[in-house]
Amino acid sequence: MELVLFQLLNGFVWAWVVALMALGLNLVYGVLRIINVAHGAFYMLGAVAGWVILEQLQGVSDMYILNFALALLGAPLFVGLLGLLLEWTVLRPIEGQPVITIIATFALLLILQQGVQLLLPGTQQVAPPVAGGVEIFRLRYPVYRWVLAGLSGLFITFLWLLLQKTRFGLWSRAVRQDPELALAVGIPVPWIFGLTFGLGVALAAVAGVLTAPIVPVEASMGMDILLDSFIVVIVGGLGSLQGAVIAALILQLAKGVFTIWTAPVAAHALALLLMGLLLLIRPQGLLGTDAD
Amino acid sequence: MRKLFAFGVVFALMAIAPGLLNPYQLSILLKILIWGLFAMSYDLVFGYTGLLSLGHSVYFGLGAYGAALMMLQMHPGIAISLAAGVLLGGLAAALIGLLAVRSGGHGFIIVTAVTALLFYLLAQSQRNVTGGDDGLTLGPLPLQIAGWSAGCADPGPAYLLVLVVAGLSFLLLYALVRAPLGLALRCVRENEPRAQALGYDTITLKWLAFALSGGAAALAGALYALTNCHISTALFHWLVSADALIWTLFGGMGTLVGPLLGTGVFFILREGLSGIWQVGYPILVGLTLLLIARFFPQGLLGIIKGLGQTLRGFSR
Repeated sequence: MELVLFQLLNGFVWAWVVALMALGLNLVYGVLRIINVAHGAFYMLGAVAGWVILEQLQGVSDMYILNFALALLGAPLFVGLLGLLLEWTVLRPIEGQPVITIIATFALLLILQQGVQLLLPGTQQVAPPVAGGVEIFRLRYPVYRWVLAGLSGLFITFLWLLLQKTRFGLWSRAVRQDPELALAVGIPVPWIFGLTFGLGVALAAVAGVLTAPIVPVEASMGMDILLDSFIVVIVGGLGSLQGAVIAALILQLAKGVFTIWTAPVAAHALALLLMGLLLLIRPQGLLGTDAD
Repeated sequence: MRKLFAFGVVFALMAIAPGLLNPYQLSILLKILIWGLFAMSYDLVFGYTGLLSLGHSVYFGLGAYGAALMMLQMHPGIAISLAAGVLLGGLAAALIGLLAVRSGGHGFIIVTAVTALLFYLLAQSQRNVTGGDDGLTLGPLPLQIAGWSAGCADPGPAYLLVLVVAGLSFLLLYALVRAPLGLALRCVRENEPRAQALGYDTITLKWLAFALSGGAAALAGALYALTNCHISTALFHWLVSADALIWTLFGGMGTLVGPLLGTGVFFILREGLSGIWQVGYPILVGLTLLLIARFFPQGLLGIIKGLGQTLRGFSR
C-alpha cells in the first residue's frame, strides 16, 4: 500500500516538472514553429547553472533557502538570455526552414551538452532547500517534493497570467495566429520571437533548478525528460497549455502505477504505449484543435 | 553510362582494398560500408521524401537482433540470417509506417522518436533475449574463402561479403530513385498538396518509402550484427538515427552518394580526432552542423558540384 502511494506521489510530482518543460516547448512551437530539440540541454544547463550559483554563494551567505531562491531566479535568467542570443544569432538566419531549424537545434544540443561535459565532468549533488518529510497514510514523503510540485504549479500559473493578462501575452498570441498580420499592425515580431524563445528555454531552466535536488546533476540529464516532454506536447495537443498539463499527469501517473507491477524500464515503455493509444484515439491531441 | 562507369571503378578499387590495407583499416572501411548503407536507406526517407525520421535506429536494431538471434539459435547459413534480419526490420517498418506517415509534418518526427524510445526501453527490459546493455556476443562469421577466414578484429572475407551486398543495395536504391517512383517521392517532398492534386496517393507513397527504407536499414543492421561479433541495445537509441541524419546532411541529402560520402568522411575524421580530443568530437560535429545548416544546405556533394561548375566556368 505504501509502495503504491509512493509511486503515485512520485508520478504526481514529476508530472508538474514535465508539464513545465512541455509548456516551454509548446510556447516556442506555437509562436516560432520550431521543434526545439535542444530543450533538454537547456533544462540541464539550468540545473548546472543553479549548482554553480549555489557553490559561489556557499561562502557568502549561510541561509541556504535564500541561496536556493537566488539560484532559482539567476539560472533561468542566464539561460533565458542565452536563449535570446541563440535565437538571434543561430535560428533567425534560417527562419522558415523547418528541417534545417531542427538540425540547428540538434547541433545546439550537442554543443551545450558536450561543452558542459568538458567543463564539468562527473556528477554533482545539490542539497534540497528544505529537509525532512511529511507523513501521510503512514508514509513519510520528502517535504521538498511537495515544494517542487507547488513551485512548478506556481510557475505554470505565472506563465498563464503572462500570456493572458499582459501586453507581451497579447502580442505573443497575435504572432502565434498570424506573424505577418501582427507585423502589419505594429507588433515588434522579431522581439516577440526572441523573447518567446528565451522564455521557453528559461522555463526548462526553472524545471532544471527545481529538480536538481532530487536527481544527479550531469551533462546527459536532459535526454530522458526531453522525449517525455515531446510526447506530452503531442498527446496534449500542439499549442494547448491545459492539454499539456493533463497529458503530463496521465503519463507520469501511469508510469508510477505500472511500476507497481513491473520493472521501471518496462513501466516507462507501457506508459508510452498508453500515450500512443491516446494519440490513435485523438490524433489532434487531447485538447488540440490545430490540424498540425 | 558515365555514372555506371564511375560506380564500377569505385567498386573495383574497394574490391582490391584488402590487399592494400591492414586489418584495422579494413575494419574501418567495412564499418563505413555498413553505416553508409544505413545512411543511404535514411536518405530515401529524409532526402527524397522529405520526412525527418528519428526512428530509423529501430529498424537497424531489429535487423541486427533478427540476424544475430537467428544465427545464435538456429545456426543457419549467412543468407538466411541476413534474410531474417531484413524481414523483421522491414515488417516492423511497414507496420509502424502505417501510423507514422499519417501523423503529418512535425507529428511524424515525434512519432518516430517515440518508437525509438519505446523499442529501446523494450529491448532494455527484455534482458534475457537482448542481453540489455551488455548485449549479445557472436562468434566470427563462418565464412572462408580459399583459407582466408573472418575474425572479430580482422574482417577478412566478411569485407568482401559486405562490399557485394552494399554494392547491390546501392544499385537497387539508385534504380529505385531514378524510376518513376523516385520522381513521385520527390514530388511529395517538394509540394504534397500539389502531388495530391496531380492524383498521387501521397500517404501510400510515403508509406512505401518508409517501409523500403526500413528494410534497407535492417539489412545494414543485419550485416553489422554478423560482422561485428557484438551487438547491444544501444543500437535502438534515437541518437543512432540522429547519426544517420548527420551523415546524410553532411554528405548531401537526396543524392544517395552523398550520405555514403558523408559517412566515410565522418568515420575517418572520428578515427583521426578521437585519439587527440575525444570529448571535443561532438562539439565539432555540432559546429559543423550549424555551418552546414546556415551556409551549405546541399552538403559536401553540393560544395563539390559548385566547385566543379566554377572550374568549368574558368576554362571557358
